[in-house]
Amino acid sequence: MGESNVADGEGERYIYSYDMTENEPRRPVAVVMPATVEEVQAIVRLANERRTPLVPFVTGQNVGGLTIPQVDGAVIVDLRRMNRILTVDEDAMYALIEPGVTFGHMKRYLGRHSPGLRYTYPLAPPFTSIVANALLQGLCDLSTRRGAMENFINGFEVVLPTGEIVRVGSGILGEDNWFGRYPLPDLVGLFSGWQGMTGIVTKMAVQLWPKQPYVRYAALFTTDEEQTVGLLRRIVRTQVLDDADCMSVSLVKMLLGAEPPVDIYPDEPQYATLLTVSGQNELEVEGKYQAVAQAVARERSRDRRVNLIDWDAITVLMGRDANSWVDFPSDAFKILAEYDGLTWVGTYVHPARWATALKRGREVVERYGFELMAFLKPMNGMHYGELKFIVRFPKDPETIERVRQCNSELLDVLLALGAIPYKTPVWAARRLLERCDSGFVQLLRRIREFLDPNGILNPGRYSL
Amino acid sequence: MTGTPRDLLGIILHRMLSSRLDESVLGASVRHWRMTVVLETEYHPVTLRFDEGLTIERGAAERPTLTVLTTLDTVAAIARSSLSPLTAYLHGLLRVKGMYRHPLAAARFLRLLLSAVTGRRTERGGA
Repeated sequence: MGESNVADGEGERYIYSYDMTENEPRRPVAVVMPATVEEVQAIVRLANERRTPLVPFVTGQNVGGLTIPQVDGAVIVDLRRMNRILTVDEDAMYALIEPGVTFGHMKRYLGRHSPGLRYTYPLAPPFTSIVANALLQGLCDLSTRRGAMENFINGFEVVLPTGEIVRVGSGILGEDNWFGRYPLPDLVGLFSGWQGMTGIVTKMAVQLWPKQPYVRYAALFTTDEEQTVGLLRRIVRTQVLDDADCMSVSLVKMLLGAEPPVDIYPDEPQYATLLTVSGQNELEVEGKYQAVAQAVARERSRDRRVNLIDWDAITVLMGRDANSWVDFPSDAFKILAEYDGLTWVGTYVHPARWATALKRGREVVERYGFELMAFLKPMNGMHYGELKFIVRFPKDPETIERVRQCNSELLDVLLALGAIPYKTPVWAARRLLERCDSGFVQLLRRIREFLDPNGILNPGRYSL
Repeated sequence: MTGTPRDLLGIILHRMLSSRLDESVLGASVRHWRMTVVLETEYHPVTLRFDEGLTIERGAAERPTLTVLTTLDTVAAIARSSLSPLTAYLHGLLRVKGMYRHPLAAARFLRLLLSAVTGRRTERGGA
């Protein structure tokens, strides 16, 4: 790798010891930055021989403390130099990428080289790793239709904790063949959702989608939790939406420049949702839009405070910035970095308990005196809902403690409703595993021990 | 403009109008206005106080010069040009209490609102 790609100075160890969350920092002993799969393999083999803990890292933007070492003596394996887009297959519509490729890279690359295709973008900074987000089963701006980002994985190459390089998915039959995961034993599940405990993915095939020539956006304003969730569920089940991004109206105020702390008044809209429809022509898009408008009109006949506002009007009312919110949504959320602290409790939840989860979670956040920054997304055609409560905060000891208590209480409320937390820090994973089916936990441990007999990859993670 | 509203409608109005008032001619003219306008929608009322500038407050002021009654839906339709203010008025979608007693105030306020909407349309490249 060369000396310039290995560091053990105090500065580097400090930078990799923490993230924006309230999770306790811990310094690694060193940071290595491989550029090839062979270098990753050599690092893992050496670590396995010496029993050195390794923590995979790309950009550290997970907002879950997921790259903070959980044990002393760990080495961070920073994969950001592996940042090539290796192939875009126009026929099977996938991109083969390395872990350092970010959403910003992908958008720019497709815009230049494959303008007929699109990837999908999360509400995260544009410098976030696609591979990391997919492996963490995050969400994106096609999740309402197609589910969590793991669904976009066609397969990958991975270095096992014992140093072997293996492939999963149709790429097992060679290059230029990463079209899907089936019909095969689906071994993606041995690595996805494991937070880097079972292998280091060195290339991944992710699905792309035809870029529709006509796209229309609208903002939906609603009042209470039952109404918001109920209406979203009805709209999504019309199956005309590409995506829906619902947020507490405080976030809209933040986007419009409101200074913190941002409150919500009871007599103003409580939630705002960005709705997206697309199609091959204006007629198709108009038809889809009207299906949404009909669902909204039925609710509006009961409550005139429900409003569906076309994005043309939103740009007039809220300004040109509104176009950037839909063009590349991740870029709009600089507001989340108002302070040096940022955290969340995010879950996927049964649709029937989605509104209750939102309402009870809101009560917790407000009782602790934090701004309500709630996000909701109908997932996978409304088979489930996503819900997260974000807290931005200054990292002083009193506030950090209050954040911990708030998040702890939030998690308990959500787990009691059967919600499954995602991108879980260790404390949250522990709480989940204490409650869940014991056979599942035992199976997790057996798989981990099988793949990583010396326990070198991200030890302590996920409370395993 | 003085102060920054904390409610969504107030923030939107503030953003729409502040860019208009920054323009030297209109801004200079508005500084001489003395009137209070209450905007009532399906949400909470908002008060626009013109007095050596413009202050926007959540809630309804007592004894306003004008009270404008409309809905967010109507405002949005005007914003995207699918409805003209005159048509909205004629169909009762936009009502102005106090217009006959204070016609100049009504004309000024509606012109300012229209100017803000038109200005934004021009900014975004629309007609």
